[in-house]
Amino acid sequence: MSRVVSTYGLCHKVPKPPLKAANRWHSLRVASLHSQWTLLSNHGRALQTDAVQANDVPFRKHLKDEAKRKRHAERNVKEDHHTGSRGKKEEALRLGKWKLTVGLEIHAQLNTERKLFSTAKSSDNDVPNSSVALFDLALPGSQPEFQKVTLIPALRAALGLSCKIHRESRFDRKHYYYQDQPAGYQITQYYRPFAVNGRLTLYDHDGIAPEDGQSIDIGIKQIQMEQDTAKTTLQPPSTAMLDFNRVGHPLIEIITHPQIHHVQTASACVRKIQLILQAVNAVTTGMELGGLRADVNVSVSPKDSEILGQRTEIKNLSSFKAVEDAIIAERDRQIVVLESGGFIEGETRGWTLGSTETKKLRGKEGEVDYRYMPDPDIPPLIIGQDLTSHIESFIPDLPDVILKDLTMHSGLTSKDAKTLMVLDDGERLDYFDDVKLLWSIRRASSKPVMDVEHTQRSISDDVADRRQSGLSRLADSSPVFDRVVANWVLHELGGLLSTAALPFSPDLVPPNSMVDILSNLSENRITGTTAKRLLAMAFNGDRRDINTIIHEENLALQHLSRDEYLAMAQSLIDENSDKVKQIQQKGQMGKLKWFVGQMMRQGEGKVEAIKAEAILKELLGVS
Amino acid sequence: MKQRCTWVRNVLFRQLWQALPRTRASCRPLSSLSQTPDDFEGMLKDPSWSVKSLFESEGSAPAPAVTKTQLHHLLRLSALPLPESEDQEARMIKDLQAQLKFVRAIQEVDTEGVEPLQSIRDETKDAERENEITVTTLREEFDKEEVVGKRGRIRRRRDVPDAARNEQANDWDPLSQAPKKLGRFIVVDTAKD
Repeated sequence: MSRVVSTYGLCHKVPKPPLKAANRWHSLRVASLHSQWTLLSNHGRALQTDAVQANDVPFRKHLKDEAKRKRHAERNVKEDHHTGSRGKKEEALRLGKWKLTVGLEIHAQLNTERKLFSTAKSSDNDVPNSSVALFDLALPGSQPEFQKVTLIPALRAALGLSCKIHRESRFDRKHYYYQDQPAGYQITQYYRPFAVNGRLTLYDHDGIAPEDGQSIDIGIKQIQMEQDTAKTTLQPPSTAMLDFNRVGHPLIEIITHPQIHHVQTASACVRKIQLILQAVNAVTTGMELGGLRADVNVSVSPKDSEILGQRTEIKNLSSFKAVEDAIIAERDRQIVVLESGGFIEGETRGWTLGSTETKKLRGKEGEVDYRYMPDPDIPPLIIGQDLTSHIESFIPDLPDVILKDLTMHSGLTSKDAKTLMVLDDGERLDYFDDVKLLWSIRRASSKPVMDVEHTQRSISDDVADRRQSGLSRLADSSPVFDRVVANWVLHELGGLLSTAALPFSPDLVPPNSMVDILSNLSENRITGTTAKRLLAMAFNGDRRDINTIIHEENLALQHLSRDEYLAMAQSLIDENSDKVKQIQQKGQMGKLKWFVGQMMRQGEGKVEAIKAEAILKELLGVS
Repeated sequence: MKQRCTWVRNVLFRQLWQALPRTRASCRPLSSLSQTPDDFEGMLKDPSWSVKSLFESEGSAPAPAVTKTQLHHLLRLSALPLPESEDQEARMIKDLQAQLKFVRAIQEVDTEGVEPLQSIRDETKDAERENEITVTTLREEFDKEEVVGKRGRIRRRRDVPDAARNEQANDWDPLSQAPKKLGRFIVVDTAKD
């Protein structure tokens, strides 16, 4: 029994018991968890995914790796000129004779309540085989019933990728036998998918290969809706344990044109597609949690040839790194075969993490004939134009738009902007926007009257206004202040969250309190250290108004008079004459910083570093 | 008496002959077309056409034979067992070839400009309008969502109870049909016999 439990838990993290905390913390955590993560199964067991902090760590690490890679690339170019690392040069020359071509097929699970052709609800962490309709098990006599609600996320995905929507599309059967396919066929859209001719632009900040320049456009051939299969857990040697909860869940398959020619661009493309799908609320989870899978078609051809070589397909890659590694391995294998005079067979290959070469799954002999045929039980899908227009007009801001706004208008770094966009399902970004706007209103309201009208226009932003050229955004954006907000929302608040192991919630530190802290800080009424202390106090539950706290706890920066500075500095100088000698005679300016540090420590937050340094320099007679 | 019955029968046959629709299939040359329609009995006495003609050898070059490899491939695709003896295999191939001949005869029909029939359903404009999915069709679903933040982010409303999540998952037990199970899983042995 325990073996069953452990294998069942394969795809999901083992649930952690809730923290033993004060009532307020516990209720806050439960409230925010309930709305975000908790899924109660039939038996009332709460299964939580502890994915909040886990999610941002790999992404931020990826951004750091990107930056490191760029630095190395620049350094290598210089190095190669000097040392002339021959091995690398030779390899580069060899690879340079061949052109790699990659096409992607991405399968993503749609974010819907129901399955595609049955009224069973789509389950996530439920008890196995608890959400299965008669049609899902293909019991004789059961009929498919297209669930119209599944169209909403599908259309959002297609419009997010700028596709043309076909008013009428059909469903087809793709036949093959496998234990996870009860009907013996999968219902998909082969002959007439519902969306075609999309496109996606990748920029250098998305992590494309440097050879692709500043940006590259990838065309999307089509997007089709299809069914998912059952979840198989293999118990060696040959027993398969099947959970049919997932059968019939709607998937979309996104097929790109073979326009990708470099490995990094391929994984950047998968990443970008996932980002877009998450932004338009079309998918439930990303690749890390199994909501997205990629199949890759790889071929090589001589550098200047227009004709593409024979391609092979690598199936079931479930992480970005796997995509990169598999493409590299397959490209190298194909080059070796072609250079030794052989030819590539059109076959399906598999990849396991940690391998060095792809493995053949099916050769030509085992080639499957899918016998595609239109499904006679399902009437054509007719999508009204009004529906398409409605969804298009309410589509959320796409990642590129948000990134541009954050970097250009708010002055954030690309890395910070990307992290902010992705954290906490967009809640962190909303919090940032609220704090930013609130602070800009406060700043404006302290200006002369004629400016108030201007800010009031920005307050009355609503959905329709968002569509406009960003004038509304400019009204409340200001790089100087926005960068401070981002820093505190991302790093300071982030630090407190990870230490306390709490998921993010905008109620932890209400925007008002955050603005109070930041405005006091920027107007020099408190020091940085005090500000951090105030943040921690608010985070831990202190609900007093920030200004009240400053007043009551006497945290305001009291500017010491010049005499007080002189007195403090003088006493330190008298106590540490040896260090003074080192500064004056040997010019060791580092020791000066030590004095400043001592003064700040003695001053308990009332000493300002710049002033202290100036006074010390004056007394010591150095510049 | 016999004469009267014959007369009735002839009248009925004449009415039947006039009511027969002229379909494409009936464009086959009927040997008795030259005869007057009055002689129904003579016309209907001997069959003028038989389905067997579809299985007989064609005038032009015969189609390529079905090889054993092809037969085995088809059987594997259909998850059917391979033939057990040479005799059975020969019979299967013969049957298959006859069936293919039949299919080729059907393929001779001219279908230029005819849309393939995908399913038997109502194909009128009214039906299309009824099946069209519009904003109104999905209004209830849209009402369960809300827009939050300043970036247009869409999310499920938290004040609306999640109907799907709370309803009874199954009103039947999927496991009751499984021949082999382990806990809540259905078990299949994937080893090749």
